[in-house]
Amino acid sequence: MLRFLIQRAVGMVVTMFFVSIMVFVIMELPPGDYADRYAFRKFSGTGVSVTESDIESIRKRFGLDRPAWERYLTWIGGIVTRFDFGPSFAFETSANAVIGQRAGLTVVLLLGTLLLTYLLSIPIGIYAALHRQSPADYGLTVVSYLGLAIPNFMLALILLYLGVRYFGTTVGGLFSPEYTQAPWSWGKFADLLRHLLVPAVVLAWSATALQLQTVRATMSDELAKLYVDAARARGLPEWKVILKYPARLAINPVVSTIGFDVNRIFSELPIVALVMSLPELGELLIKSFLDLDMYVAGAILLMLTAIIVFMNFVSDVVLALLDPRIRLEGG
Amino acid sequence: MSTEPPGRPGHGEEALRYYTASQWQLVWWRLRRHRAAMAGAFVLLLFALMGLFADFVAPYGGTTRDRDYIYGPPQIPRFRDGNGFSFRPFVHALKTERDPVTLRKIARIDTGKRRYIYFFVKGEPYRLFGLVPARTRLFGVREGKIHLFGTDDLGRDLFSRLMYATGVSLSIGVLGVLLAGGLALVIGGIAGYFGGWIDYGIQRFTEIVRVVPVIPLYMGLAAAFPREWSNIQVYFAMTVILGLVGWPTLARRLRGHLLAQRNEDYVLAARLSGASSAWIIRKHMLPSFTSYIIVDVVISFPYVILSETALSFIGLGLRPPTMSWGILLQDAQNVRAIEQAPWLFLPALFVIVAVLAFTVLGDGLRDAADPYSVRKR
Amino acid sequence: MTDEPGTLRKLAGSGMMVLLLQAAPVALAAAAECPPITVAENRGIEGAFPQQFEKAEFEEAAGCELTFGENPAIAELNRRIAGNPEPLPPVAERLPEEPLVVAPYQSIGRYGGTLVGLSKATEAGTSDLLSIRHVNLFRYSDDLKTVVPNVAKSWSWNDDYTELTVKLRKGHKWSDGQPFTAEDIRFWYEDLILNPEIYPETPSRWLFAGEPMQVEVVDPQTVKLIFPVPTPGIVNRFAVDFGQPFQPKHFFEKMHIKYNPKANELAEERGFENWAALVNNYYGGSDWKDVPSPLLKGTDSRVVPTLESHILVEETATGRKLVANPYFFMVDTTGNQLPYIDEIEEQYVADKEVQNLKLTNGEVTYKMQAVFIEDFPVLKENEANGGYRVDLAPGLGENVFYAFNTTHEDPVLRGIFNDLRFREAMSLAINREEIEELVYLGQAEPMQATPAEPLTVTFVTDEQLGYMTDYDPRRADTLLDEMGLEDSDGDGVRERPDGKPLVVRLVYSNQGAPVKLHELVRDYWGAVGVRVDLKEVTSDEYRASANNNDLDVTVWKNDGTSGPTISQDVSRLVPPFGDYFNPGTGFAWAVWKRSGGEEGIEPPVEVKKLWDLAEEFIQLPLGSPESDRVGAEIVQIHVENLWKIGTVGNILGPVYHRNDLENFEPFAAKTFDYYWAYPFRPVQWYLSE
Repeated sequence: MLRFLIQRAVGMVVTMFFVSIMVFVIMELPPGDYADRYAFRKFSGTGVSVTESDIESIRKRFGLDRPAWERYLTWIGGIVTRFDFGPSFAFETSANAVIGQRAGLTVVLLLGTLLLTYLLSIPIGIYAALHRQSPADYGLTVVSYLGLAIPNFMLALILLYLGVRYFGTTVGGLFSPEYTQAPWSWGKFADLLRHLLVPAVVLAWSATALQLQTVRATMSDELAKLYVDAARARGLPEWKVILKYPARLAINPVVSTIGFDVNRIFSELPIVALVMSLPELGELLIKSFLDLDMYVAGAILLMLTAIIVFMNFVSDVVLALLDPRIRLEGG
Repeated sequence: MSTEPPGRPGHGEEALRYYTASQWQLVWWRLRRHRAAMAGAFVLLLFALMGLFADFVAPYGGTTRDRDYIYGPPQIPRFRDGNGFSFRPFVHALKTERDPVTLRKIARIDTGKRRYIYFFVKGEPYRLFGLVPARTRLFGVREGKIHLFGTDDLGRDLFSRLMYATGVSLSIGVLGVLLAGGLALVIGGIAGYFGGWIDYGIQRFTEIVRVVPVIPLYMGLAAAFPREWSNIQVYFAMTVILGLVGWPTLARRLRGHLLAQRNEDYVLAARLSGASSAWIIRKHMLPSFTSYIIVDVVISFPYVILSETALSFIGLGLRPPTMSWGILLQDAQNVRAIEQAPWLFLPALFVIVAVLAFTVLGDGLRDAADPYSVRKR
Repeated sequence: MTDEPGTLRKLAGSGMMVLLLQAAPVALAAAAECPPITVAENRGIEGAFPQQFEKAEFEEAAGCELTFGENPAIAELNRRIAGNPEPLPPVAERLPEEPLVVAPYQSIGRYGGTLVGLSKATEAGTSDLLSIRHVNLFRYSDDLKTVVPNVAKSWSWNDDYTELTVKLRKGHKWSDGQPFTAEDIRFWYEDLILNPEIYPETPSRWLFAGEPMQVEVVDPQTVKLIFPVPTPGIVNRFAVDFGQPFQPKHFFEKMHIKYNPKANELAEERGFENWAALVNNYYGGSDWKDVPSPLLKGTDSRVVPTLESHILVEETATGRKLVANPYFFMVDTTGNQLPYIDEIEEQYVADKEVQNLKLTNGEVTYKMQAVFIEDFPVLKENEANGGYRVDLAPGLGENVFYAFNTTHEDPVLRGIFNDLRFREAMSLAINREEIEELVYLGQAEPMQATPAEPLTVTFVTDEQLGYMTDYDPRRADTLLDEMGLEDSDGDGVRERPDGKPLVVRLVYSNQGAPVKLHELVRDYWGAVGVRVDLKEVTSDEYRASANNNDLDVTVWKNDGTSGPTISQDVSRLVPPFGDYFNPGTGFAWAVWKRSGGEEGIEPPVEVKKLWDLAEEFIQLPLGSPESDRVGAEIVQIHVENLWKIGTVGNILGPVYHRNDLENFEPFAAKTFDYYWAYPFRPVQWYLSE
């Protein structure tokens, strides 16, 4: 088991290394850099006639004129040794400061969505498997696929609109105005849940669709197997027959795709957060890309990917715990 | 006591047909029975026809403006009104006028005036498939304009734009998926067949590409498009990128399948008979996983279409004046549309139906594609 | 009644009763509280400037003595301002000896409440909210014609407009209680603007004919600005500009190398590279007041003291909070210290639809910037629901223009664009009424682009505004035919002299004009045989391309053209008819001028004349007959040459305010040119229960 863990951990580090290179390449791709934007911020409306050489000197000041590989090493070195992701040009502070404020929210959203997804898909999947081809089964399937099919920016806006018009929620952000600065309390917590509901529902709906089908399919396969009949013949109560083995096995594929789910959630989160003005990382990512605030964008990409890679690792470990075969074969 | 697995025909004429049918025929027969999948296929065929013949089906061009009917609701054709019944469907003439206080456009219907709908009318000229000049349109009215799905705030007919958009979105889907499938075959095939270092290297690379969230990845790439590129060029580049991003999943699956199949008896038998690797791959292994490819391709369609929708929405994909579902939905993505022009959400309906159709069809294909599996009843 | 005692003594005796009766009302009046004069009920009492008075002026006119009152919560608000002395001095000591007395629009206000506003981000879309707490030496009154005192008490010019003497208020204090004097104005100019480590290149707008002005401190309340050339327009600039020409010297002294030789060591101790970095930690290298503060950067709990009505106390990546300035220098007509409103809360909302939802839900107190006419119907319909009002006000400088690149690098296109007939044809091909109807909901007027905003000056004629604005595609066709641009292959697109199809690449920024406008224009020009390819890019890319002379046609809003602006900033009148951040056209002409003829392209004679005329214009006081004459000539040259082809102007735009915001008067204009809400006196707004 230990050997397995070490193997996986090393794999994680190697992957992250290559990912960092890829992220850096992506950071470099868009033409232009922050020097132009900085010039605008500083000099707009002042009547200064900005020339190319002015922008060049700004570039030098920020170290944007050094060759790519040198910048990469500086960047990655800073992260690995000091956990310093570099400066944020747009906010005139360090990227860490800007991201730190939002990272918490992103993680909360992620966990909330995952929780909602599994809470919904596993029981419903099991139910659907037990009642195959029934109207309920078809109905649930269609509803879950709807989540997949409806573009989530649209869904986000519509749900937001309904929330504001008919349920009186305040718009944007995580907390109502009264609670933003207030210390934690049950009221604040309930308020947070209320605001988290719409984004989590939007994101979880499509994720649920896939997981639901997976659980349903695996359950059906297992239920058709002989050992289930054998257990029934032995006189086990029905619920035990279902839950003891088939259900456990049905959860396997779900666990193994945690990383994939997180990946999908992080892909959809930016758009939803943008539409709902949630101050979290994905939305910041889009903004910093459009702003060419490269260190922030790179840092976010790295962090999101790191979380995904880590979740892959977690799912591998959990799977190994659940299924001894994997452990022994070494994956 | 029949030793045949359930679902197989017993003996006789039917049995003969069954056992001598080609693989594809078997697949088709099984698919035919899956009602939902057939429905999906039918819908998709309809969409494809709409898109392909958009110029013909749409009464107007995608940029034609109707000054009299701005931000106007859909016009439903009817067969009777206060003045009696008519075999020929018609709509009532209407105009939109501006409310002086709220500045909102209000539609005024003139129930006294009918505009009859004629079929195969002469409309704005166009080129079928970009080549053949023509003027015939499926339907239209003699006076004024007809707007089955209403108009947007420039007075453009939503039905027409939707036809064109369907064509664009579906073709992006086709191109993207074909590219993904092609790349997957090539890369996955190489990896799976040769194994060893190549396999390992490609695997690692696949993982890395897969691990980065798609939208941010795409954003980075899209921001790199040179500014001189026209909309069409961006369109093609977008499909290429979507395809590239999609291949790792498929490649992985193919590789797994290939690795497993490599050790199957029939491959061994073929090799012992003296068949070359290429022959084995082409004649034996390819057919075994063609079904996988087809299924995967069909399942990836929704993903590609939704990606295009989302990216065009952010502004990173196609831009106006090109029309796609994503671009049309941008017009609907505001409070004004929700409250005053909900018909602008109709493209979403098309997206949803297309995705559902593809998914159901994919499910059916997957069930049908393995003719030797137990029919799940 | 200076001889009162004598009179009393003289008439001691039987006439005493009569005299007492006579004297009593006078005595009562002398000790009387000042009446609550408002603009609505001014009881005939008016001062030299509309809606406001100096203290002495008011007391005399109203026959009363001002006693001061304050916000009951002010001590608590003061505690939230880091670095402010405690306990808080009494209000009479916090106000200047000569506070500005403001007559509220409708009623004397009540203290309290939080004004909620929206911006897009820390430095994006913020100027609207900046303007509600803004102060400057002067201000434009709400008629947008009269300049009135603000921080300054009075001003005067010498004969040839080269010396401006400004008088400040005795006892005027910064928000931390320290005295505000003329020295702070000198410090701002000499030690910040002119200092090469703060501004590596001095902003050209603070140079006059290339030379700096002299700032002479005559006494703590009097400062003289001495200009190398006549600069009558500078008063206008101070009345509309976002940049306040003063900074607290006492705050920066220790950080500035000129006053503290150990400033660099101090900076390093505090963790900064050098003294300039330390100064910029607070000043932000710019006169804009929305630069990230030390609160956001986490480098200090103090911010730069201010003279504005509110001061920053909290700043995060999601918003800002400000509280009332306990040392603010204005009072209302009963002596209550302004502002009435306790707090301003600024939230960042980037998405327009979320903003719309918040507005229709009544979650915002006031907003004008970035509220668009296309959202007006929804906003209007939800007024009752959300408890607010939305009105329309004319926007200035909103006329979207199309400027063909007369200095294009492609010689064929350059030839075509330089032909006046082409520009005339393109102007005639545009259906402006349709644009007005479809894009602006009918709330605009077809109008040619003029370098002076017609509502703000008197020398633009209707003829000029209507020049070539008719929708006449046939005449456009004729002009193009005359030029020899024929469509020989019948594909609907004319060919250039070199045989290639005449294609114009219309690159536009997603922040400039509405996209729909470009689609319409594309159709119009396509109808006369000029094919247009549309391409959308980000604002930064757009600006970079424009300044690189890469564009076929520039599209932007015709702003920066209001009277007060052009009277002291001629960048719109001469090439490049804009600036780096608001591109115009004729870039190579500007280069020719800047390089003294070495580089660039030599402009035609009319353009050369513009430089001379502009220089003349800026040295004449706005509104004078000479100024009008020169202005008219400049406008005529522009209009005849159609370098900027305008579409529609006087576009109405929405102004939103919630019902609980009182003393709110509908705005005469919605524009950045007069600095948004500043002329309409947000300092006297208050919130009802």
